[in-house]
Amino acid sequence: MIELFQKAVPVLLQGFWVTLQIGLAAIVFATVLGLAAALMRESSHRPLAWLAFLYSTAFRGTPLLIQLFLLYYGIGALEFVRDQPGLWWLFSDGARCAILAISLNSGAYMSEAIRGGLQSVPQGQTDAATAFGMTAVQVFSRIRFPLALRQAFPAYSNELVLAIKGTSLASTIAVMELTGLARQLMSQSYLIVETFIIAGLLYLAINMTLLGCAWLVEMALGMRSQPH
Amino acid sequence: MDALHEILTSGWGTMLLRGALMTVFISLCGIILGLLIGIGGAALKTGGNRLWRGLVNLYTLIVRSIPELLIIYLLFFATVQPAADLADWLDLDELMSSFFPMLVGIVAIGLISGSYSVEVFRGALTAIAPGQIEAARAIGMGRWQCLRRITLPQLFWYALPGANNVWQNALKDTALVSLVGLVELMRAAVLGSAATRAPLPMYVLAGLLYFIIGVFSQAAFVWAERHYGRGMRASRA
Repeated sequence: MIELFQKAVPVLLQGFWVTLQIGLAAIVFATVLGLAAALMRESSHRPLAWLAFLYSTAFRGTPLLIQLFLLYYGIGALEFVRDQPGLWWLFSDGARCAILAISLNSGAYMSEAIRGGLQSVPQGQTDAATAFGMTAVQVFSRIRFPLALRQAFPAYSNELVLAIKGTSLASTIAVMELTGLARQLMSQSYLIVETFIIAGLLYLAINMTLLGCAWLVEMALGMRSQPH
Repeated sequence: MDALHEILTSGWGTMLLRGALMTVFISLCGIILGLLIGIGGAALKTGGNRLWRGLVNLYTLIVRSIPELLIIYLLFFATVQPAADLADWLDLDELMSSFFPMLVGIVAIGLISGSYSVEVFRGALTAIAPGQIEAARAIGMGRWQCLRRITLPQLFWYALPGANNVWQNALKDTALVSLVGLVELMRAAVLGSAATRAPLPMYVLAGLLYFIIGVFSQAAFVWAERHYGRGMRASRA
């Protein structure tokens, strides 16, 4: 038991930080992407709306693992990408590529959540605001966005957990994060269940913290009047 | 374009299609197991026993917050040695080497999709009006008869939209089973891209196949909802 904690815990903790970094970076980028794609879908400019639809459909309709391999082994092997220093910086590193893939994937799901929120705002509300003399920007920032945010937030916070779970795939392109290190320990030692429990608890800690933060945000937005 | 032509003429096209068949097979077996777990879990959760309810909640919490890949690795590494010993003892090494990854895949997909379908079936169970069960019991139906004639037919209809989501996720989760050696669509693409040295078209093709399977099954669910909902719509309106 003592040996287990001396051997496995420091290794897994190291992976925990990598997972946390990849996960949080991906969540930030995914949120921006999701919001942008949702707004594009709602825009009256047809090609923009189509592009956003295509993006969201393609990334939600295929496994994350395919997307990751496509970016890392597929696009990363293109001559064109190897010649561009900026692109090569992005595609040559497993961790950066993983952040890109998870952001794109999670952003597609988030865009659907946000779009659902935007669509739930009744037309009468925005009509009233316009009649009241608000500019388009004001209508969005004061009426549409605050209402849509509250509607979309629960679905959005579910995506946070899925994005964290998605980071586990980074291990398949040689990024040694929590799942990758757990796999290594499982294959090298007899501490299989123990490794799973520790790694699982670490994931649980990240996800529970994120859901706790989401809960606090919901409180702050007045979505939960009294704590249960 | 040349690469695409080469892939399709050198036999990797059929390899991908065979992989896709395996993907569908594993997803189907996995989701059947998952639906059984879901129905059982939902029954326990709506039942009175607090201990069982707690256990079901613990199961769904754990499986949903931990990466699917970690669960697959646990199932694989915890059973690979015993399975190899068993195969040695029975002298069935070859059979085991092809069946073992499939079994791990089915159990993994079952456990994962099961954790999501518990909620789907719990929602469906509570959607059936208690008055219907009372009426059935009142006209003399037994528990089993009541379950078979009243609860189950409606349960499936109410659960269809949620089950569609669970299925789509299960389909995509099977790609992860390739990492413990199952030759399905993802693994076929990995092998193919190594052999042809054309990873980009290979993964695009594989992604397209996943997408096509998803679209067709989506259509099947829409059809099923319409077909099995014939007698339900009036009562719903």
